[in-house]
Amino acid sequence: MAGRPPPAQPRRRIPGAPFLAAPGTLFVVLFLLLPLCLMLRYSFNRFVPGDMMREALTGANYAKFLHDPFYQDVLGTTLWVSAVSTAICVVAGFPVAYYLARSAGPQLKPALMMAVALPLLMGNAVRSAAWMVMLGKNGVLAKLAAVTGIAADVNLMYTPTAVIVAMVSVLLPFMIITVQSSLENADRAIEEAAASLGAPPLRVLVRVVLPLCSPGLVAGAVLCFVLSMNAYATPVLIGGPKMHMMAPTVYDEIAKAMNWPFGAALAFILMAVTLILTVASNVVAQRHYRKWTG
Amino acid sequence: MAGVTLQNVTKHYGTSAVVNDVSLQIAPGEFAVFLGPSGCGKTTTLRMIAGFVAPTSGSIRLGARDVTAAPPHRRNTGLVFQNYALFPHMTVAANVAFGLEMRNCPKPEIVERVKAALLRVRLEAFAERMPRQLSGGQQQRVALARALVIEPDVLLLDEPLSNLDTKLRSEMREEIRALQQSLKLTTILVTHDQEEALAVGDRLVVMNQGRIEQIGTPANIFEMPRSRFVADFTGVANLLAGRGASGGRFVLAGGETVRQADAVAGTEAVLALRPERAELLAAASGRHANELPARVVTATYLGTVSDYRVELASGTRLACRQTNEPGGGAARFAPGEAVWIGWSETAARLVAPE
Amino acid sequence: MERQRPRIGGVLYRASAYAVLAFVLAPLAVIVWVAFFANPIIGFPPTGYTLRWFARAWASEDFRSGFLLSVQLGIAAAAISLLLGVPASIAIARHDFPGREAINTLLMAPLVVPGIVGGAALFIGYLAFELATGIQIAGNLAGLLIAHTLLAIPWTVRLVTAALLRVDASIIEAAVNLGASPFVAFRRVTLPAIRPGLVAAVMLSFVISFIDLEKSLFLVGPGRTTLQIAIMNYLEWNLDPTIAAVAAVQIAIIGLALLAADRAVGLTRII
Ligand SMILES: Nc1ncnc2c1ncn2[C@@H]1O[C@H](COP(=O)(O)OP(=O)(O)OP(=O)(O)O)[C@@H](O)[C@H]1O
Ligand SMILES: [Mg+2]
Repeated sequence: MAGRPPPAQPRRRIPGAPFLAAPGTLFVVLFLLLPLCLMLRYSFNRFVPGDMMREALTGANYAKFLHDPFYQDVLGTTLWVSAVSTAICVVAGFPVAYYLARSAGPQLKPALMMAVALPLLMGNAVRSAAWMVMLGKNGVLAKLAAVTGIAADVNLMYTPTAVIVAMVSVLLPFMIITVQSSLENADRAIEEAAASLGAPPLRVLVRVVLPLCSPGLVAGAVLCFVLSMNAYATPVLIGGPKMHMMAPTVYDEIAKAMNWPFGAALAFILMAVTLILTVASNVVAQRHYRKWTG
Repeated sequence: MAGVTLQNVTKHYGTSAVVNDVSLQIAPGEFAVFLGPSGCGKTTTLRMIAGFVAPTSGSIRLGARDVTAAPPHRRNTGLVFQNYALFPHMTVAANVAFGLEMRNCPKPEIVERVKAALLRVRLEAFAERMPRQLSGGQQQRVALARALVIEPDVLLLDEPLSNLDTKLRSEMREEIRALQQSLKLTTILVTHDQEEALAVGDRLVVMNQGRIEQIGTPANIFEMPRSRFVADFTGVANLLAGRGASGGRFVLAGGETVRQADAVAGTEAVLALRPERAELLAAASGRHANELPARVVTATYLGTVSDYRVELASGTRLACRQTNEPGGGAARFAPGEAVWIGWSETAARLVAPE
Repeated sequence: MERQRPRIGGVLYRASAYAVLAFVLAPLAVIVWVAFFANPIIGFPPTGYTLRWFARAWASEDFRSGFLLSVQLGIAAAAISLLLGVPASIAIARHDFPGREAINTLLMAPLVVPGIVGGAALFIGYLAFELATGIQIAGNLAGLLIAHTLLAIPWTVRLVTAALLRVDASIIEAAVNLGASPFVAFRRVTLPAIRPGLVAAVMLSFVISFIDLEKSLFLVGPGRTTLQIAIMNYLEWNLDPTIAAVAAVQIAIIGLALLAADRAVGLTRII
């Protein structure tokens, strides 16, 4: 899903060709790159309540983040919710991906692929609404708990657990599809070779399947992690007002508190932390499988 | 060392029988070759023996052991895949060691045996390479070493040579045959290349549409095809329908009567005549039991030999291959030329019509 | 392996795969179910079934205008991203020039920047532009359309580039060899060959724009909200069958778009 460069086979050098790409490129530069630069610049401005901001070149906004435990908690919450969600996605997504790639029959597979893709494109608002119906105090799970006598009056809403549950359901399709495609690319005969050499299924899994799809697992995990670091709707709607995560905080600072400099600083801190962690995990992973993926 | 026994093995996919009531016994140490056109069920049969496909009915035994319901990892078969299926994330040595590890072999013994196996396929210098750093032929030999090192009850090879170029293919063919002989290993090789089958097999199993057409030694299959299909598949270009007449005569559909030793009066049959077993003559010679006048339609010079297509008076066409004279320079006969085509009464065979 | 003993591990593996799929799909199934409940306050089991929440949802000004705006935005964003993205894809897939990789990366960038951050940056940019020129973009249609086009561009470029790369270059050379000008060759040979890719690009662009929430958050104005934001605002205070009806309609629309895209190119090539 992430923007991989296409395996292009450019054929000709035609002088005018780059101009074909110019309008689109210009559009992105104008409406993404330029605003981001402006925002970066603003993050060094000074915020004056009532007067929005003053032109300045100060690190005060970044310092504020470092000194205020509240915001560090926000980042901490975001990090651990993302890490837990990602870990669950890796564990839960793998069997589905393997099932899709190896076990599902030719009739079943397209239907299941559709079932995975549909939630992927459902939109966060609708999916959150669906989870509110599931988890709320009149929700399905509460009713089930009451009927089965497990517990009366459960309300799972507005808890970190609820956020993680909803988040995992958002992210799972990404994980499943990424791992599935990496499994599709791995030759099934390799697993059969292992079995014919005497490896029982679990050892085939550990010794052959997991190493072979580890690039897919890493890519899927990185994708899930990035998406949950940036999540907005799920923490707001499912986590409620007391659950603070980064993206909603950025929104609140910029749109509600009108503290642009600090909101901008938070946005860049969020992007930087995400970037550093994903690059680091990619470097570690690359080192492991560079040897055999030519 | 174990033999392989298939008893009434059938495999259905949906309603179509991909393998249909196959019974077969392969002796310990024998080199059997499954030969047949694409889609005839060779791979499916092999994979049933390896345990990757469960037969719909019938049973499979390795030696005395009934393995019909055993999972692949408990069968002790050495399987070599068409595309080698080496573990890309392991070194050559680790690939070969894998099966021994699964058998909980002690470490020092693994090292010993891996070394010996690599030596046997002459790859001892490549032990620490990754598979992608090897050529196709080398990868093939690693696959072979990996399958052999576990001392399998039966070695299964699914078109192991089809990804190699012609020269390497015949080298590897001899290498596999030599290994099989020195280890006295029960081996089944799948191919659709009849030359390969003739070259390596002790016994050929010719398959067609999920059934066994004929089983026999290479010479037996080549010289005495039992059916039109086997004759056609082993390169008999002339298959002439007709009917047996009394006194060792056979009447072709075109009306010509020829002498044919095994003709049975009144029986429909197909006369199978290999192109290289017929001779083209400038004039009738009387040296052959059968000599018919014909006209050359096409002549193709192929170096050592020339291929001709000739037409009898009735319009029946025959293919004929002639060795070229040294220094002849071109095909001996030209298109349009009137010739005689001759063959002896034992040169051809009668096979059953379809 | 039909005849072999079913292994406990195999059973567990299949069961867990289906359980996970159920976990992903169950909430969607439940909310569609709830949309038909007769009881005005969500509760299980339902007291009966009705269609009236769909009428209620359509009668709500917020949802109706939100829906119409989202549809307009989706169509317009898909169209503009096609206009910008197809030439760019041709350049990337067919030509070699310095900076080709960089341009490709740039065109994919909207996918990488978090929606909230991109939206905030755009919002700040708009206001700075307004301050400098007096022309207002934030809060009006142009502002939203720019944001949504930005969302659609990476998908369009990816899908169209992939489609172009699948077209065998020699068939175009054959057309030119037979006397077609490069333009005619494009129209008569390349375009039909990449049509499925274009259909998928349009479908996906529409869906991505339609379901966007984060990027639009800063850019909507009073009386001009997208459907997703209308849903979000409603959810902050209510959870009732009306919102379930809205969700059900959205699920149906996206399901149909997905089916159409699947028909055109096959799902595996889209995602
Ligand atoms: N899993 C399957 N499902 C349905 N049909 C199958 C399956 N596997 C094989 N077949 C069919 O069974 C038939 C025999 O296949 P098989 O692979 O055994 O042929 P083969 O003799 O090895 O051919 P080739 O020389 O092309 O490898 C083919 O028609 C194939 O389409
Ligand atoms: Mg085969």
